[in-house]
Amino acid sequence: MWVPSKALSQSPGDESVTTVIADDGSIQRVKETHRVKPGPWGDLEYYYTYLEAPDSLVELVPVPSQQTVWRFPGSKPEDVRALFANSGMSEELIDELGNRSVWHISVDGIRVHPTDRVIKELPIGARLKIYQVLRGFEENSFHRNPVIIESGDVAGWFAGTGLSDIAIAAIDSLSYPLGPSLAFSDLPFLLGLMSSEKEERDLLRATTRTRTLILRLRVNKDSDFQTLSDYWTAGFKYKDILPLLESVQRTEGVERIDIAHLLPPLPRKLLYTFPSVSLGLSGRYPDSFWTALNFFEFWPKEKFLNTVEVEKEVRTNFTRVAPPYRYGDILVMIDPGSGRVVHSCVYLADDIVYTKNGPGLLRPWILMRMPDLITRLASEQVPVVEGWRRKDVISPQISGETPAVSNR
Amino acid sequence: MRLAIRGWRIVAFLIWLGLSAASARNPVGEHAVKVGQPGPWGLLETYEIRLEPPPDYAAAALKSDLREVVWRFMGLNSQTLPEALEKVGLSREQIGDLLKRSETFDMDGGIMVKPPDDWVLSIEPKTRGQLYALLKDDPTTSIFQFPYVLDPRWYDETITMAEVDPTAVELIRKLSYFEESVPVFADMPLVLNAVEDLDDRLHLMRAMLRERSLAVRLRLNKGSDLQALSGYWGAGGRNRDVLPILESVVNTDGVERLDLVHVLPPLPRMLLYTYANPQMAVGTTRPDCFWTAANFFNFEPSDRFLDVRSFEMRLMEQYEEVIGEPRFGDVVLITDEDKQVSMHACNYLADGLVFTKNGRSFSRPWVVDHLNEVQAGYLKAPNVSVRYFRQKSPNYSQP
Repeated sequence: MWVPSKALSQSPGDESVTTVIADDGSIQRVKETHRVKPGPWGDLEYYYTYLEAPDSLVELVPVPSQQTVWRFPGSKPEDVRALFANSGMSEELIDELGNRSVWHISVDGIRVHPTDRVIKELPIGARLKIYQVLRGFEENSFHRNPVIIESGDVAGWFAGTGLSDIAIAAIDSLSYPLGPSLAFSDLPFLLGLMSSEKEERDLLRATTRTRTLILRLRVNKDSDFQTLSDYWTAGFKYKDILPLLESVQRTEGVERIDIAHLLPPLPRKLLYTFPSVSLGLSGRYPDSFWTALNFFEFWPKEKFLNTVEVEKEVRTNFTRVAPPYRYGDILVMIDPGSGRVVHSCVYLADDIVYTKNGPGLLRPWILMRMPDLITRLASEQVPVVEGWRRKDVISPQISGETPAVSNR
Repeated sequence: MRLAIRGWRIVAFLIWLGLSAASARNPVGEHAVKVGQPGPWGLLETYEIRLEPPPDYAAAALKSDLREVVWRFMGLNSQTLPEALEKVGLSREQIGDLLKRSETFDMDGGIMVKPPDDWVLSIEPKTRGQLYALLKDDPTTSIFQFPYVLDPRWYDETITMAEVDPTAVELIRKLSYFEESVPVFADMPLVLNAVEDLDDRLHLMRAMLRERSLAVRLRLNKGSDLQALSGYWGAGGRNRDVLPILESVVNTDGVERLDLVHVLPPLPRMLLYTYANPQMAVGTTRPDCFWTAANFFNFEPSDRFLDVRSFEMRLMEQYEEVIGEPRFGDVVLITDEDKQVSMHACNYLADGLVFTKNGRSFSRPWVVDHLNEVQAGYLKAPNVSVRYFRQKSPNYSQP
C-alpha cells in the first residue's frame, strides 16, 4: 500500500503539492486540500485540479510557426537596439541578435526574428526585461498571454501531459517569473524541438493546461444553515438550498457539499468546461464580461458579447460597491495606466472568484484565487479592482464581515 | 403556525382520532450513506436529499389549490350518483349523509357536489381511493388523476419542520390513500382552507412539493482504474471533459469522493436538483422527461423535443436498442405496450441510477433516482415495457 512516509519539499508558490518518499523508495507528489478563511460563506475547503482542452478543440487551432517573432509596433530600430543593449545580456548575444537575427524594419515598426541560440541563452534578467516590453504590444500573443504556471513548479505542472522530459526541461529553462508564478512564452522555439505532429499537438494541448479549484463547503450539525442559505442564494431566485443543506446535515458520513450545487444553473453548467463550438455561432466566443454578466441568467444573453451592451448593463442595473464583497458581485479589473477595463469575474467567497480568462476556445470557465488572477492580468501595473452589485439582488441579513479582495 | 379550523366538526374529528400537535412530533432519524455495487463506473455511494421549490413556485401552486372543495362526477346525475357511490364501498348511511348535507348541482355532462369537510375526513383510505377514481374525469382539475405522491416518511419528516403545523400534517395523513401501495393525497384545498395565515399555507405547500432525490458520489482512490472510469463516464467522447477531474481526485490526498455533478455532461449538470425556469416554457409546453432524455448530451438543449413525436422520431432514427447492460447516457424508455404510448423517458447513469424529470410541472425538479423506483410509478398500466436506447456512434457502439 502506498503511504507517504516523509515530506521532502513543498513546491514554491504551491503549498498544495508535497513531494514525498513512498515506502517503495520512489519519489511521489501528492496534493492536499486547503481551508479558506471562515466567513458568512461557511467553512470552505478546496483542492487544485488541472484542466486541458480536449483534442477536438486543440485540432481547431492552427499550429503556430516555429519561427519566433518579437514585434515592436511604432518603435524605431535604435529604441529596440537600446532595449537589447540595456537588458543585461552578453555582448555575444547582443551581436547574435543584431547581426545574425532577421530584422524587418518598416514605418509600422520593427519585427525581430531572434535565432534559437538567443532564445536558449537569454539570461533570465534580459528575458524578463524584453518580454515585459513585448507584453505591452497585443501583437505579441505569446508574451501578452503566456502560459502561466501558477504553482511555480514546471515539472509538477506538466506531469501527466505526455510531454517528453526534454520538452519539460526546455520549458523549465525558458520560463521567467511573473509575480509569484512562472510564465512561458517561447512556444515557437519549443515546437522546433518536436519530432512529430503528434508531439506538436501534445505540446499545444499541454499549454492549455489551466489550474482551477474544486471547492467544497464543510457542514456539520453546528453549521448555521440559514446564514449559509442566505449567503449562497443571494440574487438567485430559482433554487432554495436550505433543504439540500439540511439533507447533508442529516446524513451520517456526509460532511461536505460541492460548491457546484450552490451555484446558479449557468455557471454550474459551464464550470470546468471549455466553450462549445456552438457558442461561437454569432461570431464571437464568450469572454470574461459575458461570463460575469450572465452569472445569474438562466439562458445566457448574447448581447453581453458586445462591449457597448456590457457597459450599458453595468451602468443601468448595477451599483458600485466597496469591499467587503458578496457572493455574486462582479469584480471589474481596470488597467491603471490606460484606464481600460481588462477583465471581469464574479466574486464567490474569501478570495475566490468564478472567471473565464479570455474569449478563446481554449480558455475554460474556472474557479480561481484572486491573487493568481491579478498576476495573470498584470501587464506593467497591478490592475485596479472595482466591485459592482446587481440592484435587484436579494439583500439577506448576513452576519460577519467579508474580507476585502486583495487589490495589490 | 396556527391552524384555523373551519367548523367544529374537524376539531371534533381530530380529537376523536386522538391526535395532537405535541404527540405527533417524532424525531426523524438520520439518513445513511449507501454504497452501491462496483462496475465499470467505479463505486458509487448515495444518500437521500430533499428538494423544495422556491417560494414563488410554491405560491403559484398554492393559488391553484386554494379553492372551494367541489367534486365533479362526470357521466353521472342525481339519480345515478348514489349507486355509483355505493359501488366504491360507501354505506347507504354515508351516502345519505353526504347527499343530505351537501350542495349539489346538475351540470353539463355530470353532477357537482360540495361535500362537508368532516364527511370528507371520515372516509377510509381504501374507499377514498375508489371514490376519487370516480373524479378522474373532472375537467377542472387533474388532482384526482395525478394526486400528490408522498414518501411514507413525509409525514414524520414534515412534522419536525418548525414552519409546518403538525396538526395540518396529521390532517393530510388522515386524508391520504394508496395507489399501488404508495401514499397519495388529493385534498389540498380542504387542508389549505383550514390554515388561516398565508405564510403558513405557503410553508405547507412547499412541504407538500418537497421531493426526494439522491446525492451521488463516486469513490476514488489511487488504485482506481482511470482508463476504465473515463471510458465509462466519457461516453465515447460525448462527455469529453471528465478525465482531468477524475485524475485530479485520484491524485489528491484527503479527497476520495467526487460529486456526480462533475461527471455529468453540462446540461444535466445545470439542471440537476433544480426546478424548471419559466423561461423554458415554449407556448403551453414545458420541459418534460422526453425533452430531458433527448437533450442529455447536448450542450444547448433543442426545444424540438418538447414535442414527444420529435423525441420518438429521434429515437427511431439516431438510436439503437441496447441488448445487454445499459451504459451512461442511454435513454431508458418506459412504454405502455397495450396503448403503444411512450409513458416516460430518462437517462441511465450507472448502477441502477437514472437522471430524470418526472412530469412537466414546474414544481417537479430534475433528480437522480433508482430506476426501479421511477419504474414503479408507471406500473399501474398492465403491460409496461422498459427498454434502453443508445445514440448511434462509431465510437460508442454496442459490444
